[in-house]
Amino acid sequence: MKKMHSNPKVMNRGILPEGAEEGKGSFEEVVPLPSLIGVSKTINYRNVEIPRSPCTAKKDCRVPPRAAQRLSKDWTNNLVTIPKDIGTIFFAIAKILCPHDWLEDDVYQSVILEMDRDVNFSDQLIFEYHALSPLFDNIFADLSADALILSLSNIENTPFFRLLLGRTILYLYDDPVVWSGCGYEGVAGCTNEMPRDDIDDVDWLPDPQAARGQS
Amino acid sequence: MTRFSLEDDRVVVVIGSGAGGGTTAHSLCSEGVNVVLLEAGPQIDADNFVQDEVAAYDMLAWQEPQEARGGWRVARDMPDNPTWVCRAVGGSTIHWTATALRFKDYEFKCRSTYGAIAGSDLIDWPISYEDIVPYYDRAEKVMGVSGKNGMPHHPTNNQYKVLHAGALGVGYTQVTPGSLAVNSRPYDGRPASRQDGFALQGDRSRAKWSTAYIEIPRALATGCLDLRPDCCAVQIEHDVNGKASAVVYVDKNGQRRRQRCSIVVVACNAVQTPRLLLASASSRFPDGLANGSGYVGRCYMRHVTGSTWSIFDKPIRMCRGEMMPGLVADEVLHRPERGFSGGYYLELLSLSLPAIAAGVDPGWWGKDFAWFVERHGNMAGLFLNGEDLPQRENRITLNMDRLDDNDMPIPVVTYTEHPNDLAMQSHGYAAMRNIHKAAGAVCSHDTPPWPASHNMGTTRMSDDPANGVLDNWGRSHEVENLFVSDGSVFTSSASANPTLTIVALAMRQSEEILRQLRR
Repeated sequence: MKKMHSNPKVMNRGILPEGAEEGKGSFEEVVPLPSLIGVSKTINYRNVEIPRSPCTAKKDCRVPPRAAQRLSKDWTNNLVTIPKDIGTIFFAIAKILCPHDWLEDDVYQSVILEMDRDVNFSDQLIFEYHALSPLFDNIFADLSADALILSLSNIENTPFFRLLLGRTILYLYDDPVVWSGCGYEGVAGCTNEMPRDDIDDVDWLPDPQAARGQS
Repeated sequence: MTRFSLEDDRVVVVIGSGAGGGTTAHSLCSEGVNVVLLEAGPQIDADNFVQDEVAAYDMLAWQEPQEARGGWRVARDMPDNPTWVCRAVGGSTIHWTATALRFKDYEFKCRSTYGAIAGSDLIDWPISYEDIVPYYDRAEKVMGVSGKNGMPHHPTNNQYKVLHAGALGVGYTQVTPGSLAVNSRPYDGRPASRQDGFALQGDRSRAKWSTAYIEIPRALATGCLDLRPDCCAVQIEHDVNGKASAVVYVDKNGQRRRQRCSIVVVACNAVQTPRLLLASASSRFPDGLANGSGYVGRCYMRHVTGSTWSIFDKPIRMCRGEMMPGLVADEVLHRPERGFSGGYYLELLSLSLPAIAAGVDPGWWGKDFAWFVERHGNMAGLFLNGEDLPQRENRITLNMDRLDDNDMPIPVVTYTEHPNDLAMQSHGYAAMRNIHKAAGAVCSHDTPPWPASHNMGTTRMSDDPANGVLDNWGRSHEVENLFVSDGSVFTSSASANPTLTIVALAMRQSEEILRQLRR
């Protein structure tokens, strides 16, 4: 599969406003800095209590399903290009990059298997992984979450990280299981016969119909 | 199926089948002119469009190599992918969001209105608003633009409720459902929108206007159109008099062919059009065909853009309904007291989860990122679309060291924002956050510009041949039978989405081509 419109070769992580500490931002502090226009702001949502809004999700039936939907414990046996031990590392990293505690491991494992199916990509990924050494020798020896976050923060600008992040995002968020948990419906609710009749079901905002006639 | 001989030098060759090329081909064929329409991409029946972000991108997008350079963030985030246009019969009218807005009167007189702006290369258009009005009128009817000519506005969706409440809450007054070239009721043999949120993926129902299933089939029905999909133009040749004489292209079998012609209309978009002209350099035109002024490829514009995504504490389901069914027009007017010249629209925007995850902030990862995207169901979006000043060094050039599969040098897109652009963008981000906050948003995230779908200015029209490429009809100042019919012709970007203006200009230009053919 080719990349989508946001190239997986993604770059910089968010840059904090001067004086801000990561994890200490808020709605009010998200201010545009003229010198950094276009550069992202990182803010902490840890204290924001908003539940997700899961929904029924469905992919267009014209899109072929993934080869491996549910995987066994021995999922690494399905890896062809990526060595098993490295696949295990990639899996651990994917869970750190996009951590959703309501997702089962098999969803992340499926992401690594999708990478593995793209032989050219996985060859390049493995090459860039090995290129991390010796600068980052043993960087992934400890696969605990805290250790991985620190390790990944140190390699954000490497080709390996960019490749892995781009494809992780591409494959993970193209999975209808993930859509459902994140509240994206896909084609669920759409028919070929009738327009959707649920497009204005928000009842906590005023109905603009009255004003429409004046506009 | 109509086929014209490669040696038939009476045909008009149109290169590109999108808003400009598709409209031109149809206009000419309807008048009995024989047209060969070259399209680099395949012909895809609308029934085969997939309503899926990733699969549709793979099917439709132009993914040939490009390079991005300059100070814009796209050059860092997507260095080999700075534009997002379609490679298929119908061009980018397949994936456009269908926002169909007219330029303002003063935007055709931007240099006179704004005055000189240091670092920009702003000139007035060689045509006025009055010149284009009859064609705007015609285009809006043909395209079935909502809110015009009896086509009702699209129904309110949840995103519009957010926009309406928030925009009124911060004091805006020009809040409307916008103008979409999508049927809100059955029209012109096509159904009403299914309100399913799929526009970027191609509209399988055909409710959205596209040359792919409107103008091009109608042109084919005249018997005057020879449509050649999967045929990529690589050179325009000229005769001893400096007139365009043939177009060399590579067909789907990789065969190089030469179609002779009477007139050439280049309509490949503002990256590929200058690329083709630059690649057609000859001893007579050493810097590229029609490039005596040196302006081919220069003054590339992509609009000042950005988007803001906000989380609410209840579901929004932003992808229900049309993608851009509302806008705020209060910031469009030129009011320099804001700290910048020109203006911008605030437009609703809905994106799928895959697009949000990939594009909300390229490079973002970790807990905050996951927290944000997993609340897609509670998310609302706004898009800033504003006037981008022309700058000579923002340009399309060729990388002679990197050739594509057809042995063409790949295009290099160099772009750096003007301080005016940055001031406008900053103002727009604040406006979008304020709107969402007034509607009850808990938090917001500003998203940087993505690869451009609005590509403009690289063969601009001008009164003076010394500071442009085309005359007031979109005809080369130097090559009398060479026309351009896409966003490349724009003298300035204005604040509105470009497609309606491309179509109107193509209709107007077609009349001039007919006059020229009959002279």
